[in-house]
Order: sequence, then C-alpha cells, then structure tokens
Amino acid sequence: MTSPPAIDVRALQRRFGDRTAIAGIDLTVRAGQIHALLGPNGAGKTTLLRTLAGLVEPTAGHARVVGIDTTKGPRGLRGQVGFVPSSDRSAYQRISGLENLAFFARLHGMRKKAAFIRAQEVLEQVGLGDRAKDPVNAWSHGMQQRLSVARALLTDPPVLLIDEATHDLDPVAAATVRELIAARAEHGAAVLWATQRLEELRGFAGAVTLMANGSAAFEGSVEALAARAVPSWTTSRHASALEQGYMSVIRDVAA
Amino acid sequence: MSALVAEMAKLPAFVRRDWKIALSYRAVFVGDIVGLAMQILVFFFVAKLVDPGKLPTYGGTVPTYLAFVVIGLVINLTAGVLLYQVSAALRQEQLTGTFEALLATPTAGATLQLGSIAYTLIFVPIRAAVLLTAIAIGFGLDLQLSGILPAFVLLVAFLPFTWGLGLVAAAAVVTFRRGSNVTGVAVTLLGLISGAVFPIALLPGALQTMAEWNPFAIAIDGIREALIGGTGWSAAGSDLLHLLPLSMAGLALGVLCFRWAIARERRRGTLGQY
Repeated sequence: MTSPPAIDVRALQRRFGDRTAIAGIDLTVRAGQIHALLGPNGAGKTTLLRTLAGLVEPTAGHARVVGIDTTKGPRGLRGQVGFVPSSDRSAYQRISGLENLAFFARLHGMRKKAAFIRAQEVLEQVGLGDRAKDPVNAWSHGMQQRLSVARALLTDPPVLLIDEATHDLDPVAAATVRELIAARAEHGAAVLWATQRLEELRGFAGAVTLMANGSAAFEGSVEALAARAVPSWTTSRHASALEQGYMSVIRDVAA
Repeated sequence: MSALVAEMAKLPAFVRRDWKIALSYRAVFVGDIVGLAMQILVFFFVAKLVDPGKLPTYGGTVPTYLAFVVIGLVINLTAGVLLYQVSAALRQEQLTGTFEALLATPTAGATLQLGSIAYTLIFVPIRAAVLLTAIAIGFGLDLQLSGILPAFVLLVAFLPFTWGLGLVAAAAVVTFRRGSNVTGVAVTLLGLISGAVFPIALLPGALQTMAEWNPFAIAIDGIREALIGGTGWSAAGSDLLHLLPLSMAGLALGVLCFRWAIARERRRGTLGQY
C-alpha cells in the first residue's frame, strides 16, 4: 500500500484579476521525492509554491500538503513546510545570521538555547558557520540566499518548497545546497524545487513538471524531458539535450 | 491553554530581535531624545509668555506652563512613537521581505501583531518615565512623587488605544502599502483636541465635546491631575473607568481591521507585494 502523497494538487487555479497565474494544474509529490518545477518567467511556479505554503488562496481546485488543506489549516500547515522564497532578501539585515535563524526557530516553538544551537548547526550545513555572527547586511546575495535555505531546514520539515534557491549561488555553494536537499529527501522529505538551472536536475530531481501559461506543459522524468529534444536552428548547437527538450515543449505550447 | 502559553513564549524572541535591531540604530535613538529636548527648550521660552492664570488647576494647584506642556508633549510623543512603530514595523517587514517569512511560520496572527510591538510596549513607558524625570530635574518642575504610580497606570491603560490606531494604520499598510497618512492624520487630529499644549477650554464648544471622548485628552488630563495635583487614586480611578473602555474599543477595532486586511491580501494573493 502506498502512503498518501505529501503534496497533492488537484485542478488548482489562481487568477489575479483578469490574469490567470495557474490555469488548473494537477501535481503529486511523494515523501522522499524531489520534484522539479520548470517554466519560463511568469509561468506560475512561484504562485504555485506560495499557494502550497498557505500564503495565497487558490481561486478553484484544492491543494493538500501532508494531508492538510492549504486553505483550511494554514497554521498547522506552516509547521510542516520549509519555504524558501525566490526574493534575494528575506532576512533582518541589521542583525546577525545566527540571530535571524534563532528568531525563526523560536517562532517554530524551540526554546532559546535549542534555537541557537540549531541555528548554528544549519548555518554550518550551508557553509556559513564562520560568518554566523556577522550582520546579514554585510553578506553577499548568495550568502543571504543560503541563509534562506538554512531557515527552511531549521525544523527538518517533511515538505520543502524551494523557489530558485541556487539562482545567485556559485557552483560550489549551489552543489552544497543540492546535496543538503538531497540528503533531506533521502530522509523522507518531499521537495518541490523550482529552478531555471536545467543542468542541476540530472541525478538530482526524480520528476519534472514544466509549466507554461499556468498549465503543466510536460510531466515526466528528467530523461523523458531530454528525450523531447528536437534540435533546430533556433537552439544553440551548444545547448544540452535537456535545454533542447525544454525549448521543444515551450515551442509546442506556443504553436 | 498550552497553545496560548506556546504562543506567549514566542514574544521574548520578538523583544530580543527588536532590541538587537534598535542597538544597531543608536543615532536614531539619540536623535529622538535630542529632538524632544529641543521641543521642550522652545516651550521653556514660550512658557515665559503664558499667564499661568489661564491654565486649568489640578487638585487646586496652578501649574506652570512648562509643567503643563511637558506632560502633554511626552504623552503625545509616547503615543506617536507607539502608533508609528506598529505600522512602520510592518512596512519594514514588507520591504525587507521578512513579512512572508514570518507568515510562513506556525505563529498566530495575534502573536505576530503583539510581537511586532512587544519591544516598543516595554520600551515606551520606560522612556516616557525617564524623560519626564529628566525634564523635571533639569527644569526644576514641581511634580508629585505620589502621582507617579497612578500616572504610570493611566499611561499603560492608554497605550492599547494607540496600539489599536497603529493596527488600523498597519491594516492600511497591508492593503494600500502606505500607512503613514493614516497615522499622521490621526495623530494631528487627536493631538489638536488633546489639550497637550493648550487648555481644551480654548477650543470651540463642539471640539470640547469631542475632546471629552478623546483618549489622548483623558490620559493627558489624568496624568496631569496625578503628577501636578497629586490627586492620587480617587481621581485616577474615574479617569481609568473613562479611558479603559475607549482603549479596549480602539484596540478591538485595530485587531479587526488588521485581520480583515491580512485575510483580504491572502485571498488576493498579494500578501508579499510592496
């Protein structure tokens, strides 16, 4: 018997006035799975992640995270989700990274001492242990992005919603973050990973949903997406099979 | 009950955060004090022009204009700081991107509201007391020691009203991304009919009637009665009875507005926008 999905999205829609951000999408992510979310800018990836985090209400359809309806139990839901927003800055700039994380850990119910110990641990995991006591405004964008990842990992949540976490990171830091996330998935976390870096998905993500215009234009494995590659004069000859597959799907949607 | 205790246990985290942030802005802190000192100095000279006979008496005592105005200014400034902080703290959270991060934690909305001003709620009355003491010593004001405790209780009873107004401004920040106009208009209007710098008796009749229901005016008058007139708990008690329902109503209105604003933004999907 299979366990219920950690993330279960059915016919989800979200409109902002006249604009449709999500036009009815189905998505399932099971515990231990890393599911990549791809798509052009404005495809609806961030809206989907924010809906799953309980920050946006769907217009129609439903989304359940660890069995909790995102519209009905947002507080219970938030204890189960680690959310990494796509914005460059989401930390208190005037205080240290350690103080930032300890503050959020305490909002998750940890006692003061445990919060500081845990904050230091996750900072070390993302490679920021030696800068823990520096004010965040002295950190680079990439370091602040890692701080955001560290915050999502504070409570070892069963679901991780990650929006372009490696966007500003150098290759080594990006690999460190992916390894951390992969380790969490091995321990049973369900991960929804939005990214524009296609090549990071090989050997990392088990499934892919490619969104375009708020809908799922492709669903399958990374290899299946690469197999959609149809080289053409509009695609650089240096483009990988994965990039070509991505562009092929987007061209089909546009056609 | 245990859920309530768990939520309350989060408040020290907010206080620590804001204390650490305040420490990183020492210049602002000092600037604030210097600004008030300059204001007091202006009124020190204005006081030389004012006939104390035109001022109301407190417990039979005719105050000097400086004593009269200093209490009004300190209370207004205290309320202004709290009112500003409630909406400014939220605006700051929006701009730094931490607002969504806060809402992504399993923390109740009420805890977030209280937490965002917990430091200010602790700091503001202490600051008012220190300022009044320093000014009283510095300018030789004749204030009654027996009035300190009733005055402090009146100040504490008045703060929920200001907090409520701040939450209305915070709701405006969440909804319109701006709240300072709401704050500015409210403080100016309530300040005008508060009797902070001139006696309410000088106002036209209609405004005098409004002032009777203005928590700013009630608090200022009650604190003057306590500190200048030394009227003790009997006078403070009737002021408290008058003030507390208005304070609670203001706070309830603010909480409702803020909750409505958050729910609306969540429905619209624009919670994190600024």
